[in-house]
Amino acid sequence: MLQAIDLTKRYEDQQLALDALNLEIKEGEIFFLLGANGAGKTTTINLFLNFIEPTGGRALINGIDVTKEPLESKKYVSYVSENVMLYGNFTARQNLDFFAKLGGKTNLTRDDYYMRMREVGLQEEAFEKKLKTFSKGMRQKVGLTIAIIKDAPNILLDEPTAGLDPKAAAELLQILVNLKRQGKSILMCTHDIFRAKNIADRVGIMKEGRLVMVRTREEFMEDDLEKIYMNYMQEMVIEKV
Amino acid sequence: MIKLFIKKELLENIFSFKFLIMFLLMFFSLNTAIFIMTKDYKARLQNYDILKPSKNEAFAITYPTPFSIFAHGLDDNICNLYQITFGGQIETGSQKQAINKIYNFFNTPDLLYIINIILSFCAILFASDLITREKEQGTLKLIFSNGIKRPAFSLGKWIGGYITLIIPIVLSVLFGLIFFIILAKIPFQFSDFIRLLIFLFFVLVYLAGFFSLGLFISIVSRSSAFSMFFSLIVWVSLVFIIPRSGNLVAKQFINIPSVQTIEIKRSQIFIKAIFEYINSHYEKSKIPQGIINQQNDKIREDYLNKLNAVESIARKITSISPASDLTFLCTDLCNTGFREEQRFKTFVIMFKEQVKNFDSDSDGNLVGDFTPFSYARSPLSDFFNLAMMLHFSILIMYILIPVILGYYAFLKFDVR
Ligand SMILES: Nc1ncnc2c1ncn2[C@@H]1O[C@H](COP(=O)(O)OP(=O)(O)OP(=O)(O)O)[C@@H](O)[C@H]1O
Ligand SMILES: [Mg+2]
Repeated sequence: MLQAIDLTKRYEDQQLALDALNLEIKEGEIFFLLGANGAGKTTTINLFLNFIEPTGGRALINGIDVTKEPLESKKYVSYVSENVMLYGNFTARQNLDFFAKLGGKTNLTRDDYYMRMREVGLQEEAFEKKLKTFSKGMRQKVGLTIAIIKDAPNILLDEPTAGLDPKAAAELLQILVNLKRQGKSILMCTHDIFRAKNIADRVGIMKEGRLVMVRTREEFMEDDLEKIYMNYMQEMVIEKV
Repeated sequence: MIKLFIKKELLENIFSFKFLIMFLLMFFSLNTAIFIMTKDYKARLQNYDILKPSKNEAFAITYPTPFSIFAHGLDDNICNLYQITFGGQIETGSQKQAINKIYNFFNTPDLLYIINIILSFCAILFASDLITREKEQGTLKLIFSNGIKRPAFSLGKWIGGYITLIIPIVLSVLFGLIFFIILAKIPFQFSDFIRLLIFLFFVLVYLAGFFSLGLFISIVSRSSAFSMFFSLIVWVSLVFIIPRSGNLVAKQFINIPSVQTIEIKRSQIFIKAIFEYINSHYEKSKIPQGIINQQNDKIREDYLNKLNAVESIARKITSISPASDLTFLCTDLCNTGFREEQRFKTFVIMFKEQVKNFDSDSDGNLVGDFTPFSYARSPLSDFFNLAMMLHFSILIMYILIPVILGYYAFLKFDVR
């Protein structure tokens, strides 16, 4: 379970990036966080991972406060970053091996890694190739495999479909649905409204650091999610003008 | 967890292009140096065999040490030919004495020079993007999205990176030793290998300093580009600017007269003496050569004192640079340094005292029944003294300070 309680972040330059965010993502739930560039999505994820200190409020992972017990709380979370680069001189399997061990999975075999890579749709011949020869989408899949291998109850994804071809993106989302069925709590930041419509349980729209709208699946299926989103964005444009 | 990071660091670096380039550079530069200096040593050894004094020759000369291959230092001065002439004067041989000893230290392309310049450059540059690169490629975020303690990573990085750095050095030096020194039948004894091990140990400590500096810079820098640029500046200052400015700065404190000034003073003394002679003692006495000599000696002594003072201050200033500390340590260790030169000169003076009262033949050479000059280089035990400890502690400081600062800086490091 992921919880944000009045979570606030004001950067050193006084930029209020996140304004009292209240959010709870339960087991077996996929939450999509939408919002324009600079809305505060990445900031939210960074706060959950304790990469930055909140200036107010708390972030909890499985009930553990991430600022008070950062090491303990991170045991219960997997993370897929925007642009997975990994170690270019390592093969896909070596990368998996290293990060699996960091995540506490010390007794996996070569075949385990191969199996997981097959699951995310990586081509067999890529398994033992150096990562620097990989395309962006292929790297993204390795990144996702790392998160899956850690097998943590919570998953944070920051625009994982950016740069993926439609088929790969669809595959990735299918994997998320499977993970959700296993009872994971998933927070995904994205610009991809169409995918959100397909698989999200709840969708939130963030604007200038505030979560301005949250809709459950039933609610946004009735309305046109795209229209809602555009309305919110439009307001912003008008305000700016 | 540290073990995992060390292993990753080794694997990642050893199979990288950067490592290959570094290996080749180190291998060729170190072995070229060993090759050239071994040839130089053998040539000088032959030279010594020809000049070596036989019985009843008032020459002082000593053999070149095979350690000059590693640290040449002032060995050309030490191996000079000193001839004792009538009246107890010491004349140097045809090879000119180095006037500025500090410069002399930094010019011969011996092993020490390569280590001082090229290897320190490799070390600092190699370390300078170890952290920034991980940040730029996003692996740092991924690593710390796990419950990993920061020191496990930073210490693992230090150890793993340092091991990768010294692998090519140790291999190259071993290769050089086997192919150029053992096969060339350089007279090394077992005890000499202990000296050699200490030499290598100093080198590893020295490079650990540059490596730590680079890693520290990498922690406090925002990007690899900046980190490399900053490392370059630090390296140039430590390796070139500080050692070379020691003399210049020292001269600001002590006013050394130029050779021309001294010559003018000398002629003034002479002219004054002549005038006095003409004025007062026209008929009775000879030109007061004694007084002229006395005064000239005083000028000379004064000049030498000042020169020594400059040298001692320069030595202190240059000691700020680890490159200088390594040079002083290694030349002393290899018996080619200041200490050995002083010791040798004392022996020459003792020899002079012993032979100066013998008569000279028509050519001005001393003749008589005296034992020829012989000199053995300092034993290893002489090396361990306070000055050595000071230089060594400065080298250690160059490791400790960046490691400690880097350790704390990394606890607060922004991994994003
Ligand atoms: N290190 C920082 N220092 C100061 N301000 C920052 C910093 N990082 C982000 N910000 C500001 O915080 C706000 C939110 O940024 P954030 O990266 O969370 O946006 P985002 O929603 O992830 O955007 P995008 O869709 O472009 O990824 C932005 O206005 C940004 O300028
Ligand atoms: Mg973002």
